[in-house]
Amino acid sequence: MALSFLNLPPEILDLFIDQLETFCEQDARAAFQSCNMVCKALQGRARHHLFKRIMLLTRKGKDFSRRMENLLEILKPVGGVLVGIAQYVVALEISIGQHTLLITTVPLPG
Amino acid sequence: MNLPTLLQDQDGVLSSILNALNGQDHGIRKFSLILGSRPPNTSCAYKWDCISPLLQNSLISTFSSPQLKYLQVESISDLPLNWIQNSQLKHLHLTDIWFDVTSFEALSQNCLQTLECLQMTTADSIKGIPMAALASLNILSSIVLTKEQLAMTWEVMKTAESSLEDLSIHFFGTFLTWGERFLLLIFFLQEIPPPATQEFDFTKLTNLKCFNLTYTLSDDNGSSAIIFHPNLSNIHGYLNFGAPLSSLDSVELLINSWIDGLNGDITVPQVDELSEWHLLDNLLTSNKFPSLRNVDLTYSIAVLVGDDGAFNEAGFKEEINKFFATALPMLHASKSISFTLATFIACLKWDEVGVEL
Repeated sequence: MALSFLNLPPEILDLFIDQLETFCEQDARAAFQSCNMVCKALQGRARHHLFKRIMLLTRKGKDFSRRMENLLEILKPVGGVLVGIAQYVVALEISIGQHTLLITTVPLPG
Repeated sequence: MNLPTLLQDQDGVLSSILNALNGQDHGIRKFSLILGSRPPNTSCAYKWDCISPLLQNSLISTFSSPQLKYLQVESISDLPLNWIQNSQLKHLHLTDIWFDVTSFEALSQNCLQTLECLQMTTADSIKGIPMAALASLNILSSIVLTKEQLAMTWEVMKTAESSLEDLSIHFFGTFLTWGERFLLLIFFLQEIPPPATQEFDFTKLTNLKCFNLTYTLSDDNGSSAIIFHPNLSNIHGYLNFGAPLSSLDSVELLINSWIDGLNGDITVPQVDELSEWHLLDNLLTSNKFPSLRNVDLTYSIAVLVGDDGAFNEAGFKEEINKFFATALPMLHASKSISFTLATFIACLKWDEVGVEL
């Protein structure tokens, strides 16, 4: 019988995918995107990493409204059942507004 | 697109996004809502009533979701408080927040019992939250600009005195350039220096392991000598607790100062001139801190110069690093000590119109 990574228990596969997070952010994202496309066995954990944190930030020159509508489209449940990425989202950050009057000149605590 | 337009025109989409992320079988655990960064006490925060009822309902549902463990909100005034009644939050971060005073009375003293970490920027952001709700805090961080905020910080510390393990108090108010001082006077109409003596009995914090203090020096004369002979006696007085603080493992000290390099070279004095640093060295190695192992000292200096090329930053940093390697001999010998220097260069130019900041 040919050996395949699919013979591994899913928990072990998840651990392999989790290790990709130790890469730099850009490389990790590319790796998770690849895993997401390889097969269903890798898809769930890859999507967990890809979509666990969503940031909606206003940026000059970006169409914030359009991006919100696109996000809503892929979050929408179909027939009352969760599909798409909503089930993977753990953290949501909405940041709106100008940052023009920050008086402090020393680094604020994180 | 500005904030009011966005929140009014897109309230339906935002509301639907929040509802989609807070379904029956799942929910977000961390939520941040940051509506711009504005100075406190300026009444510039976005009013809750200006948000549509549809979006208000979705936000309240999100805030009060039992799944939500971390909440950060910034720049909202008249925010209702009823959502904390059933909240299971562990971490709450409030910046430039004013709660709706009319919603206080109905609150139970038993709310927010799960809260472990509170960040207040500034301390008066918690006005309205029952103090009893903060009794189990492990981590407290407070930025203090006024006497009222300082009193509020003492009150929270007293409430959580048996559970606090990590405490950060940040005094920022007086570390300002001239232009910023002008803005401060306009917006706050007050500024206080950090207190020179302890007004709270720190020895009641029986589980305190880490103390993080940001201290801003208030000398008006920012000569090169002043930054090395600052009011360290004040910092000494602040850290000189009445009795040993036996649980304390780590002290992180951030000192903010500034130096006037407009009228010549900036020189670093010799170590033997610096008795005030030895006071600090003696105190932190004394029996008042029997368990202290780690000391992190960060010196943050704004340097005023008249010309971009007038300041040799690399040479200055090298001198300062040498200075602190020898200025705290006992700490270096007995503790794990780290020193970080952060410099901020402010170029102050005069022209026909006036000063450019």
